[in-house]
Amino acid sequence: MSRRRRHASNPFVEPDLPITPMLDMSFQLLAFFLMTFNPTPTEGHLDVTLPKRDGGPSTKLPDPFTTDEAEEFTIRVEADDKGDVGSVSISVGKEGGGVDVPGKGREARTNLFKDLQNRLAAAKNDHAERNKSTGESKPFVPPKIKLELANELNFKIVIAIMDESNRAGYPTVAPALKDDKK
Amino acid sequence: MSHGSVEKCEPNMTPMLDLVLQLVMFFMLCANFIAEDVNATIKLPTALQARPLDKAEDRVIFLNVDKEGKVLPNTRGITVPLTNRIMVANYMKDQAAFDDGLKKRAAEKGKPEPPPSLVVLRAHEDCKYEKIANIMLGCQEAGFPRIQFRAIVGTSK
Repeated sequence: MSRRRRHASNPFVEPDLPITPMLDMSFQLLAFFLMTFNPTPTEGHLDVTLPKRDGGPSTKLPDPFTTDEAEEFTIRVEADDKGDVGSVSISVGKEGGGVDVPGKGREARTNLFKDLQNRLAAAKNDHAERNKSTGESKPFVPPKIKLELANELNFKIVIAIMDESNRAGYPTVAPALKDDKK
Repeated sequence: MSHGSVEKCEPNMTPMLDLVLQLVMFFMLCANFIAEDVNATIKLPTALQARPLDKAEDRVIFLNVDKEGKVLPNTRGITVPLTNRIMVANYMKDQAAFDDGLKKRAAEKGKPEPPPSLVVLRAHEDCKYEKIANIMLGCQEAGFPRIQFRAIVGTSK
């Protein structure tokens, strides 16, 4: 009777949405994702230029080491007994020998970085002077770097050397094994 | 003071529920269960010059290399660790057959030939370079000249 009277006075029925179970479920989901949240560090990539191999399929790609205009630096890296840098030497072109970079380990890498920066600055100056004397405006192409690496070097050291070469202004770095003379 | 006029006191749950659902949404989007064929046990080296990945790459083959230089099993056909160059070359030749199929299909449709798949090496930082070089040689022999090293993007101090 009273019900009928309420309906008569208020024709709209107020919907009662049960929020509590939804909130429970949401909290459970939240707790799950909070506990499984494991942000991974950002990964990036370093491009690798493969050295030319006789008869290999990679000859389809342009080989930076056979072009005449691109100068080439060869960096030879020996390993110490921990897999770090034992000694480093740099040579220009395909000539043997090379100039030793002083130091070992991190010190050698820092000196190599400075040496590469100085060599790049000198190469840029030479290029500018050549352009001036010939009256041409050829763009500057940074020399390529070929790494001849000892077998026992740790991968993180190889990455560090490639990274420092890139930072010094050399975009093309080709890592190869020291004993692999092909 | 009448007992009949007790008012119901309920907290307003709606903003709280909104917030909770937004948090749930955030964590759901961040949860990256099987994004790539990567192995979390491998400790990657750090590089300042490591660049973000190119999303335009059609096909990428991930090779996870552990400390001993073994290519670890993945969801794309590697069932046992690959321990030498010949095993890597054989696996990569199987992958090359898939690439050839793509090339054939592109040729039938008159589309330009797709480039060979990109090989991404995710190698442990303490792995000896000789092992990495052998894996790269195996890839090169199978016809995969495009190789990238994965590294954690470092920040300058």
